[in-house]
Amino acid sequence: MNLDSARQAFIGEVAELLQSMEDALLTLEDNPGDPESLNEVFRAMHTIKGTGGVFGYDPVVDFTHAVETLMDDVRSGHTPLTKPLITTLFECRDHTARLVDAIAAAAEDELVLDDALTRAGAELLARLGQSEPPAGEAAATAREPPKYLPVSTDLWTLSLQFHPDAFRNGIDPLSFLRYLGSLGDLVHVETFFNAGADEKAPFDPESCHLYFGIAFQSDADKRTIAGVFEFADQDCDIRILEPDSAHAKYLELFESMPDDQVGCIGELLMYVGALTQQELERALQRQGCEHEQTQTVTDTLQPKRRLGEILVEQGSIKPGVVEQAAKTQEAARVRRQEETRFIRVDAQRLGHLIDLVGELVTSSAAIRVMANRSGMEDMAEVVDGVDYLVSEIRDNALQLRMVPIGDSLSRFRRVVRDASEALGKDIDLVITGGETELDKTVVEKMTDPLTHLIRNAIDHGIETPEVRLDAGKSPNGTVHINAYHDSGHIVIEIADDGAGLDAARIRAKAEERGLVSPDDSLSHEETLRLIFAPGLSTKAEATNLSGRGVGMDVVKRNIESLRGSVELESALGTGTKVTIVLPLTLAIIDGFLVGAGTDQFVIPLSQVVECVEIDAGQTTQQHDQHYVNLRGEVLPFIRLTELFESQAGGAARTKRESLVVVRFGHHTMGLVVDTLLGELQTVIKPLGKVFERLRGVAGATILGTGDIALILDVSELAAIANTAGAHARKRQAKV
Amino acid sequence: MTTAAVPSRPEERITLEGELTIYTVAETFGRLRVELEGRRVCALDLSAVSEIDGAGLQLLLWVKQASEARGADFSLVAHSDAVADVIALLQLEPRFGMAPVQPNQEDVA
Repeated sequence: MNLDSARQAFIGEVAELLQSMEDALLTLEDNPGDPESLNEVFRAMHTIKGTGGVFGYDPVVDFTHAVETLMDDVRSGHTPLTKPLITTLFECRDHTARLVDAIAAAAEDELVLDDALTRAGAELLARLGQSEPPAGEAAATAREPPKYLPVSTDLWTLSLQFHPDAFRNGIDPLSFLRYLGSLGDLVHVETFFNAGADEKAPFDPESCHLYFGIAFQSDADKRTIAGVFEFADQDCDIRILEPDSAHAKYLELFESMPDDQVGCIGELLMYVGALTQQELERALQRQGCEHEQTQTVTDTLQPKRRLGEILVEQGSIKPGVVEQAAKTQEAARVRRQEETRFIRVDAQRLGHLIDLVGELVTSSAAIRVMANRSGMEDMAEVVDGVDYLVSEIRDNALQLRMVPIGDSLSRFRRVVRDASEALGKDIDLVITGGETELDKTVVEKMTDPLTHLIRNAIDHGIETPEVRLDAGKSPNGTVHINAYHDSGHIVIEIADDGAGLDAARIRAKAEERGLVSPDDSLSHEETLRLIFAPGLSTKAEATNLSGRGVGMDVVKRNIESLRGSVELESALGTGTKVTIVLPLTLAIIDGFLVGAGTDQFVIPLSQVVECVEIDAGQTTQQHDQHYVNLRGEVLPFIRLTELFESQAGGAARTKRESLVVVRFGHHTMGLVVDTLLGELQTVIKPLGKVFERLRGVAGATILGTGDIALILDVSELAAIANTAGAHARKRQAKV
Repeated sequence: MTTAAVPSRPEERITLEGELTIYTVAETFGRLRVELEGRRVCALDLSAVSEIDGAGLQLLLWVKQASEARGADFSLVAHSDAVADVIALLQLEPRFGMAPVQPNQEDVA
């Protein structure tokens, strides 16, 4: 791993940690005492400090260290977690993110912070100190205890019970203590001598009657400390209890342990260094013995005693550590059952794999064409098999890029929190369907539009508590994000229970801007859609929340660039719902190949409703707009040969044509083609800049024959059909 | 060298010399058991002890315990560097009526 990729890994890791810190802070806001979340915040800062230190990013280390110190005080109950403190912590989180951004932006390892950033950091640290007077720097120095002061929590506790034969076997307890002293400070040694007190235990000067209790301060790990007594193992009962600080370290290790390494509890404890090999063996032996005993005595099958129980009894380990280990073990078991373990993969590699799969799909289509031409029966069979496998590989490869949308939706909790605070509104964010999976590239591109929509809902949609009470609603508003799958698409709904859109005002505004003329008649839905037009805002004044950044027209454009669509529903006084429909993936789709004139086109299969044959007599033409009577319904259609001015269109008119009915959102329309060529795995190739303005085409694909087919963009085609005649649309609405 | 404040007459002293280790404890123990009989005061002089190990230390603990069990006054009137070293290691100074050795003094010693 070279330094640069290590740096990338660092930046990625920090982003994840900061995200979990943010989640934890949000939880803490509702439930300030939640120990899990407190730990989470602490751990995030602690880990960033550690990794930052590895790279020598001192500003990051200094800053996170201060926050970590504070969190430690909070965790131990010295500092109360107040609301302002949480707000400051949010800012600390943001500041850390900015620091890391600065690292990411810096060309080499030279990290030069601009003054503003440094000042912001210093100011935050000062506030951290203020939020709890004795905390901050004063507490930080007080936390460094003088070396000889016995602070019980930081000390190892050792007990050494030497066997009577120890001296005779050449073991001198003193030499072990001297050696131990070389690893750290023997803060306190208690020597017990119990012999000769009465007749029953006579004193034998050559037998060892000594027993030591030692409080020991050291940075060494348990294995090293246990190693001191390696030679005395046969002649001494050794118990080593870790200090509470190590205790916390173990808990961290448990958390960070990959699931596949979580084996049996003994190994687990050994892995983190809470237990030595000897201690484990002793406990296992005991477990075995006891098991045999109970077997013979009661002659019934009794479950073996828990290993953890024995270990605690043996004094090898503190109960808390075993408990946590057991929990980790349990959680890992559950997780392993639910899903296989994760591997972190470079997104670029994955992208490359998907590109290759795309090529494979194209090649296998070419093979099919060759096989058909050669007319060899058995060859066709093999090709079928290959085809099946290729489509399986394709699905699986695409699946690799699928991520649950919930991960990216949860960041909106912060958006809602900050925004509602700034506006003095009380808003809950409810997220459902977070487990719905979506291509990662789509998720990334959806962040901005979603943020904008949610800000809109908070700023324009939900009213202030007073207004809500006057309107007879509960004072706190709700923004509901819901995601679900629907026939090859993902649907994301953003609903609020706010004021709703005022259709009359939108109309007035649009007329003012000249977007519609006063005598146009528009349905309610069409009026609402006007807010997607550039430069239309219903809010009189732009607040600092929304009103800057992207407008609704940009939202719409972003979504459409993903081959998605956006719909609006709103009722005045009860709320607004924005529904976004997106394709699941951007790379490879199942397509439906049709021929029109000399050209071939691909229609996304998920949008095809049905195919019917039509006669020329069934169609009518009015104002450049075609209609067909389909089972008593009027269906507008486009003749592809006309739209794309394909050759030989006129000659084909005499023969029967096929009508492909496509659905897009709530709309259906027809596409008239000459021939239906069947299903096809379609690798979407973007068209170059030259074809940027070509409407109705989403991309191109290479067919097995080497020909190129255009992939139709049904939503744009629908728009073309609609704008072809406004009168026609009115008639359609009446039907 | 620090000595205990308890005054003691020479005849009340028990002097141990040379090695006080596992190799000699049995012998020393036999001698001490005899010496302790009927004593009111047990003042140990260890200034001539050249070497002491865990067994030797254990013997000292026994002497203290045994003499106190007989109602005798136990004190350590003198000790060598080797003995001081071990007592410091086990932090037994209070038990043997010695002032705790400060690290810097230890250096001087």
